[in-house]
Amino acid sequence: MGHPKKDLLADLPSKNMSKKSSVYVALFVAFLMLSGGIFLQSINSGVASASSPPASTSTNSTFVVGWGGPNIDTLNPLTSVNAWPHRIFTEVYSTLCVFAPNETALLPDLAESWQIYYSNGTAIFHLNPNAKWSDGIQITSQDVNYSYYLAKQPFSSISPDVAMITSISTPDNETIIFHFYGALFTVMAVTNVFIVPYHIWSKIENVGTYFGYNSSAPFVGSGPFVISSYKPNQYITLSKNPYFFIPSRMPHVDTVIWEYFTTITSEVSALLSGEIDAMGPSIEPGEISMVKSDSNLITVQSPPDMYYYLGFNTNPRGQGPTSLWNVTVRQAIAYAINDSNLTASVLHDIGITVGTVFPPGQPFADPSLAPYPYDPAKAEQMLNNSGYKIGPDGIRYNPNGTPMAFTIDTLSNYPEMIDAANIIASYLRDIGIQVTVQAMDVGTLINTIWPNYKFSLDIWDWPTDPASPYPLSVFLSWQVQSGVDDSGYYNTTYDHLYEQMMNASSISEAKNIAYQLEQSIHWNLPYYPLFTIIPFQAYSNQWTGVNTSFAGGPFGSYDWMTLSSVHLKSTSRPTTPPTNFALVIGAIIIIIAVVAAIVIYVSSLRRRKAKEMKEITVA
Amino acid sequence: MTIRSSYFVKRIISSIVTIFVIISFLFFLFHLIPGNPILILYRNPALTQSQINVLYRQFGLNKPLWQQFFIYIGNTFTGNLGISFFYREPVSMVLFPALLNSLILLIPATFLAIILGILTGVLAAWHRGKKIDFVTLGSAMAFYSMPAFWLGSIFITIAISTKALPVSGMYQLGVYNQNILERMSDFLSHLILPLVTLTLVLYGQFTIVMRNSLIGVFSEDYIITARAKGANTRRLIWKHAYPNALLPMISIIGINLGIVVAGAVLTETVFSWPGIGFMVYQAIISRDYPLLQGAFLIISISVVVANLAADLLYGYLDPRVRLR
Repeated sequence: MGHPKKDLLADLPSKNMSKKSSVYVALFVAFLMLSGGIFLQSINSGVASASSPPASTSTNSTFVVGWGGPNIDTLNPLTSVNAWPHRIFTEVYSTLCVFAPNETALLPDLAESWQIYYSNGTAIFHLNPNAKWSDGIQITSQDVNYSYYLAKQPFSSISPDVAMITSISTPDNETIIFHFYGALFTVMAVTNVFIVPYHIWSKIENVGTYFGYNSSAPFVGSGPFVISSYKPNQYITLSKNPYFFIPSRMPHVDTVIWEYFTTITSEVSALLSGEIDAMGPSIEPGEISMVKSDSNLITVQSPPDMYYYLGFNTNPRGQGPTSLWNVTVRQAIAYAINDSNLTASVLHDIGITVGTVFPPGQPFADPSLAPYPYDPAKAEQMLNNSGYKIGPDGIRYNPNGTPMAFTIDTLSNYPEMIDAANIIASYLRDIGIQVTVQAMDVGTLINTIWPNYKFSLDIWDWPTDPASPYPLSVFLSWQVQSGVDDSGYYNTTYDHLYEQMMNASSISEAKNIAYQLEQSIHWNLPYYPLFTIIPFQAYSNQWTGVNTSFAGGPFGSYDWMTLSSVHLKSTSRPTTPPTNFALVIGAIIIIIAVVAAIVIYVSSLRRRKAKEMKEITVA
Repeated sequence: MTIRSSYFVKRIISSIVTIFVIISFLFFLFHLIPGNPILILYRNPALTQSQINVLYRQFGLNKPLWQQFFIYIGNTFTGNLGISFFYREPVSMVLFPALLNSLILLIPATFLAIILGILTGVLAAWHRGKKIDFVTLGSAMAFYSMPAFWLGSIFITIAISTKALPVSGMYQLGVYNQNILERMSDFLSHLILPLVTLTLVLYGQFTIVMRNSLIGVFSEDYIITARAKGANTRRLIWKHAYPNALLPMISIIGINLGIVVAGAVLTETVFSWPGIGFMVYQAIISRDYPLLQGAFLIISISVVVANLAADLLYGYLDPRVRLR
């Protein structure tokens, strides 16, 4: 019965089947070859790089940290501007001196001793005679001289830090003499220039465009670690530097792997699942309770190293609302904002209000400045007195009769900024000002501000150096067109005062001038500082030796102690979750079983239907 | 020239023209996005205007747009995709490893989604109007409409609470001296969650297309004839209906390649999978024009080539297409 049926069906439109089948088989084979090849390549390359750190033979000596902030822009310490690479530089390069945590007191690093004479602007540094590069070559004053020469070049992002140095001399291999003006030499020039090896960097054709790391050549540095591998967007591996010359700071771990995450959420997931041992720069407010409730984690909070602000478009040459050029209007807005409630609502228990453009505790932060008191009645009175009156419709009007309406522009990828913008908008509506909030990406925000200043208010943030007053330079008049000062603030008195600070003959005098500058900002309000985040970080309770006193926290930008001192509590480490081989095989078997079950089920259905059809045909 | 070869040549020429138009369009599109890459990358009070000018020159952004365009086209045709603004490395060196990582995830996910889509589509079509059709179609539509990041987040939550599978990256960092089985196991364990997520969000469309296409074919005369001649169900579906219903699937697979990459952006971000989607996200944020242009050049070429392959396959399988 079967044969005649086959013949009868031969002329039906399945004639392309053999052709089609061969195509499917070819596609399938191509797929297998492609995916198999890629898979094997990935396994080899991936594990090869992960297994390459030289000194490590077990997981006991590897500390894995996550980073969910801005990515590495470059590993060249002369051109980088981001926080994460700065932290890497503190681990792989030396500076002449380092700061004690959140202080301006200098401690030895590459320099073993020093004498600074502010009276004649001379500083003499004596290098540690045991100091060697990671390739075993002696570190000399020539390296230091060369590094400061590079730091002064136009391509250098740290050139303002060394602007006060007038000349450098090197009487011998271990001594370097600086001539400078101003007392800020110690807080800006001594600690911010990473010393690079002359015997390597002098051979680089263009230091300004050099990335700072080349996988085909061994990395040469002088810090407690060296860079042993780097995969953009994935991780950077630091291995212990066998030639590191300060015994008390010799790392306990052989390797540190610092892994990059695009979002804090995925970083927190990796921490909770045990894939990383610690995380920085800070956990977001919405995820804190989840991290706190994990008994395997220790949470830490450290001094802040940034602040958020409400920026006013004060630029008289810009296209913003003219009402904001009036300082009384800006002050009235400040009085209308309830800072304490705002901070508590947006950041819960990791935020604190700020009264100036430095976070509290920064050596140059004026402790006398506090946020404007919340006084909406006073705000309304100030506006009424200035001619900005409420109309019969409850809306406040400009003296020329147009409604007083602003837009707050902010960044869409920072939930805390959007929350703050919405809350501030509601405060301003309470005093009759119409406010809308626009969240956008950083490129669009920049385009809104520069060069035409087509905005009214913005909410943004600035990182702050833990010991330098340099962030005050944001408000200098020339920063308006350089894409730095979003308030468009022109104030020649401020500019002159800033110059005086740079030339101050003592740190205390510089501090006094810095306080005057901050008070000027406080009353003129190009920015209204809103709050700062107390960095909230966490690490696995299997580890100890974590320092919490640096601004930005142990896994932030400025700590130079933690990665050297961190170590396991016990020598045998259960560690990162071992990959469960049985589980993976089990999962694969389950997937195959499910697919097989579907196929068997479908074919059984077909058989049953065919049987039924056959019976119908027979009938 | 035969009809077949003329058809193939026309298709190939049209694909080359399409790629050229796309890369030209993308160049201007990316430069129209508001935002200045120099100010995004270097919002730093330390930089003076002269330093900023140096950066403009370094990145070639000081030239007029039309000059930048001709330089870009010239470089692209010589295989030079430029230097990434953000990574300061040749774009090809930045893109290639990311592309490889993406393919490791995308190829198996697409393949599994197609298989699953075909099987469930056949099942639903054969049981049209019955409970099994409702359940199969309902699940397919549900997964198809689910955002990848949402589904991924659910899997991550489950994985964290059960400590069953890793949730980020391609392999566990800081574990050394693994043997080959441990390496494979480590890699596969990291692959499972993003693979399952991407497969589930992709398979729904294949189910829907397969089911609807099969239902159309089931009402064709030749199927009725085959049924009348006593063909059994297996033969009816897999020999007569399925091959003819598969043609629309080929088009969908070709078109789908671009959507797969877009879907991968979210999946790669959620699972920190270092693929091309993850990189495109970074490049858009930093207005890294060379990297964006390079990435979209590769994506465009993939989509055009996939569509070309689908066209040629279509022409090969159905000669009527070549004759039109």
